[in-house]
Amino acid sequence: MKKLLGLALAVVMVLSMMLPAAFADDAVTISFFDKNSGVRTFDDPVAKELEARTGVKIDLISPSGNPAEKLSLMLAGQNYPDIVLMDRSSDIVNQYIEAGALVNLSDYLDQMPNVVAMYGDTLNKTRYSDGNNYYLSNWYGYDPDPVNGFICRYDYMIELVGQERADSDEPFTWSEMLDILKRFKEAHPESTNAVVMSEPNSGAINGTFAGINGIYPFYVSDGKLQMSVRDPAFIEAIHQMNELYREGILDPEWTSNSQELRNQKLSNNGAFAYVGAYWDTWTPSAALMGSENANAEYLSYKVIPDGVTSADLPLAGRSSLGWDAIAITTNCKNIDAAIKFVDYCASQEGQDLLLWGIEGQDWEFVDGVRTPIGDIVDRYLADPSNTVDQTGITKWTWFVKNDVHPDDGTACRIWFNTKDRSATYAYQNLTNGYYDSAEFAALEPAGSTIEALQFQGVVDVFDQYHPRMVNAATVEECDALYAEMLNALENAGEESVEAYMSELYFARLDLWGLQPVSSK
Amino acid sequence: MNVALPKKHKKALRSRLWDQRYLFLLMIPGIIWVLIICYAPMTGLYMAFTNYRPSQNGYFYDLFNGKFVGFQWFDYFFKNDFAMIMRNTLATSVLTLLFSFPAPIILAVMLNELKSIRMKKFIQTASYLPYFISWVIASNIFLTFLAGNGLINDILLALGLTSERILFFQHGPYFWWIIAIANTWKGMGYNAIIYLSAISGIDEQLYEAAEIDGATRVKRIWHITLPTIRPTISILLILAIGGILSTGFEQQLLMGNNAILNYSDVLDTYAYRYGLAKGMYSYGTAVGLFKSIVSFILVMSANKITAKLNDSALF
Repeated sequence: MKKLLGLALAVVMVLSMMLPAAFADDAVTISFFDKNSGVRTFDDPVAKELEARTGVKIDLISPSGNPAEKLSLMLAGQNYPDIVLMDRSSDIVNQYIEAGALVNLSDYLDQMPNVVAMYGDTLNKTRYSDGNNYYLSNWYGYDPDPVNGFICRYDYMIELVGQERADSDEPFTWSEMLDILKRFKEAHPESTNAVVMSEPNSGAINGTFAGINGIYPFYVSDGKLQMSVRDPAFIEAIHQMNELYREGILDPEWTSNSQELRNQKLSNNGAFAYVGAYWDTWTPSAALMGSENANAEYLSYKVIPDGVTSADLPLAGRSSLGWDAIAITTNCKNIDAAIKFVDYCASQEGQDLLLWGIEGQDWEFVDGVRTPIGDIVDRYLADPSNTVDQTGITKWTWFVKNDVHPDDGTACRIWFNTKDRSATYAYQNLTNGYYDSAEFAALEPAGSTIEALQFQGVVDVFDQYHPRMVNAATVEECDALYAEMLNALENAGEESVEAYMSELYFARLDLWGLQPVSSK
Repeated sequence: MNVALPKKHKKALRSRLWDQRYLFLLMIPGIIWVLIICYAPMTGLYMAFTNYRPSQNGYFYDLFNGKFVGFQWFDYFFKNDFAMIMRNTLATSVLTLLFSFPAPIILAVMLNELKSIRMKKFIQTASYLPYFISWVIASNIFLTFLAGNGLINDILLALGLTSERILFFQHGPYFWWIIAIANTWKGMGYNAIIYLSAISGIDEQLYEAAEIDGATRVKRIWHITLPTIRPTISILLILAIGGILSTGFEQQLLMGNNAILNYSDVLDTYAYRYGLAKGMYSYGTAVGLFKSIVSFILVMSANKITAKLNDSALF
């Protein structure tokens, strides 16, 4: 009896050891840091389908706070995950490359046929100074999609300029827009936030006013690259913002508006216009259209300087080299699996999965054209964030190519296949001035160098003076602050920073065989 | 007549160690913890004198093989942002100290004088709750209350104390006061507990005797309560002075904005922005090291002064 019991126990023990192995998940796990993932979890239908198709299980590492800080800490501790997605425009990419933390993808290009086919010339432009590719761009390719502008409430525009003018693609001059804003203020004296901006989103603010005035990210003149504040048009842009402030049109608390506060103000009846990206107003528009009327929607309008007839304004620069960089790190233990995963995501099939969803479930081919199934696009238009979270479509925007499908001409993202009114107005009014800003991207000095410190000092000076110039009580005070800022920039080492960046910039132009975009 | 007393023989060190072997054994985990967690990371301070660049060779290799640059980072800091950063740090700290040091003492003494136990417990709980609120929430409370259309402006307008709304977060010097008040509000209740525990140790007979002698309540506080808790006050003052350069971090990051960056940027936020957010590890370490050295000098000085003034010191 004792022997039998012992035998039974031994069998149970052996089986218990073998069973987990027999049912073990043989998928390779790849850890992936996505700076944009926020609090999202990798468990939606698209994520599961991607794992099933690639045989790779993704262990998503969330930024949990400031992504730049996390990337920096991971680099210092050399505990970065297998794949990292970081901001391409900052110097963090070069820091990772210089630290030898990124796998040289040039050695693996023969194993990534889809990457080579999809990226094409972009791979040449994103090579490091040693001629190798250490990362792949995200949101790459020529991208004439509109971004920043004056986004005004459509019902108020009808009230102030009439239906025909509100629907027209004819630009408003600065004086005309200012007059409209003043008339709004007269008609709605209770409004303290006729124009809402948000300093934490300063790129959008500066992008909008820089665009109106034809200012590029850097001022290139006489074979020298300088900060954009040296552009003669810069002070005009500041004067325009200052005029809005002095007239009591600009929300006086624009410097401390968080995204939530900004949306709260835009959802309020006292706001008329927003300065920034047209998609920033989707949430307040949805709230207003529900509570006010169907035309209480923020739509994009074109504004150009007085006396200018150029059809190329406002400028809308977007880099063909993308916003983010995705790289495989040297900590990756299974390079082959990571390469396979990357190549699949970058392929057209992978892109369709990430940006259109699962074929047969979310979309299908009808007469050779990709067509959404059911009410999926309507659901998105009614509730964008929840629909993205639930379906997983466009939740993971990795290796995205800005282009239409070459076979049927549909947009790269399912949602963009049908334009709503907001997108229609943005495309109608904000697209003329598109240019490729790739030549200006990632010029800043990297790592621990005096130039890098000086660059940060220059950025700090601008960040401090910009709100003060806008909020100046008089034009004279604004001009005095501008002069003071130029002095402070010189003291912060602007000249040596510009010398560093100029060298890099003109070497890049030579390499790419380009002329400065501003000289065209 | 001098009588030679037999000399008391002190035991040999080895013997004394052996006698107390169990106590030392108990201390070993603590000592190991201090060595690993507190002292070992200090090797990283060497980074402040090199140009640290991470590579694939491991942290210690990179640390000790980075190019030695001497005081280059300190030099850059002193020549550029030092004056502004120190002004902001000291202004915020001194104001914080001004409010937050006496506030818990006053609160503790007042609570001690309360006769209603229920009321005492309620106030005590209500006053130390802010300590447990994260700065994210606390900052949002301040941002909302002090907004142009916030409650504080409504009250000021209603009372006729101002004719137009004050934009608190647009004026740099206001920011120092806001941070000082926020720091005080958040830490006052918690620090009061320390004083309350010190007060609870005071012999009741002292109060009874004073009462018989006709001492008023104010006199009892002045002549019994405050002198008795003076050692606690001294120690907390030393600690507060030592932390004068640690004026906060999250609150500045969360409540500050670019319009007032030249007033809100303090040593910690500056070191963070450069060292971590921008990956300039050596520069960030240099700024941090400067802060630590100054803090150490301040603690030692405060300790010395306090020891001379009232016979009680931290060490």
